[in-house]
Amino acid sequence: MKRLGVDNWGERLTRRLAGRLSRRSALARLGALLVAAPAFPLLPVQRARAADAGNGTDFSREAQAHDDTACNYWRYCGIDGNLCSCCGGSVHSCPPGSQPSPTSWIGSCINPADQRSYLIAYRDCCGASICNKCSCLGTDHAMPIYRPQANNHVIWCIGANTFEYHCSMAVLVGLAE
Amino acid sequence: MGRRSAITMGLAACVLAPIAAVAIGATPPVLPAASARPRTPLPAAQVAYLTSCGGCHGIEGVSAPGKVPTLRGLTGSFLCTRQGRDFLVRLPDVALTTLSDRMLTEVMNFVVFDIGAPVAGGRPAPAYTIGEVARLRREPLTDTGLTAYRNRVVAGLAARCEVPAALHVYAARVTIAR
Repeated sequence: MKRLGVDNWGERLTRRLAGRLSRRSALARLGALLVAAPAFPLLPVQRARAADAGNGTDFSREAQAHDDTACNYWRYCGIDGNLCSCCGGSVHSCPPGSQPSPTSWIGSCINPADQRSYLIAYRDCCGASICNKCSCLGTDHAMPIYRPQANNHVIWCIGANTFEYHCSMAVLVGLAE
Repeated sequence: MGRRSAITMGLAACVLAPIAAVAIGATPPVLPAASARPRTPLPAAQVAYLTSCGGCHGIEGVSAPGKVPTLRGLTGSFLCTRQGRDFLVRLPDVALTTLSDRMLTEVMNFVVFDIGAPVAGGRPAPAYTIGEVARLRREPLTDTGLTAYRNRVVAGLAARCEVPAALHVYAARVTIAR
């Protein structure tokens, strides 16, 4: 019976391997592979790639979740203005004498406490002269002025009684993902 | 010095899209409680609504009556006629958004069915399809007087369905007092 070329080739390969390798050798190599494989994701290169693939930003890597009068407080990743927290108000309430604008722009920031992304409304307090304390600038998800819907430099007092800017809040709207 | 230039002050982006009428006497916006940390992620369509539309139109679809069109309870009425249905997608800030056709379709259905009330009178309207939205957004209403066009659309709606009275009132003018 005529044998196919691939049969001959397969037989030669199998016999050569059987002649050279012991069963122990094969088991040792398989064992080494099993032990070594889980170590690869721990290598720094892999960790760096994982960090890039995540939803972290330059801001979020330096952000903190305990002091809302500091510019690196996590909710301020897209804020542009003076923190209401430093002006007699809070992160979600206007200082006395100013009123919250009904309009805002909504971005999202990562909370370092759980690494999840939360929607944040940057809502200005209007109707009092500017509070010059704690001027901060975060640019995450902010768009240039030609897309003013998400521009943080606009005075967001649209719909308020006056366009007089006092300070900016960072109101938690919801969990994004 | 103030950090915001006067040049940017007049850029009231939100008033470019007169989607619905102004609800007279609507309740003022309520700021959500900020201390509690929400545990459940919002649906993707709601997240896209909030980041693309909700800043101006309001988290609940109501923000600054008289200045920004109210969506809550009103948007569903536009589904009463083909012209009204098309109008919502052809609004410049809707048609020209950076959202994909698929996500824009989800947002539109969220806006008309979840934020807007069901259409009054007539048959229940079907949801927007991706193909429909993709086709409509290629024809944005950029070369017409939007307020006049909107008035014609609303007249058409009122002729066929029972539309809320608030739908007839629209004030696109933003008064900036200093």
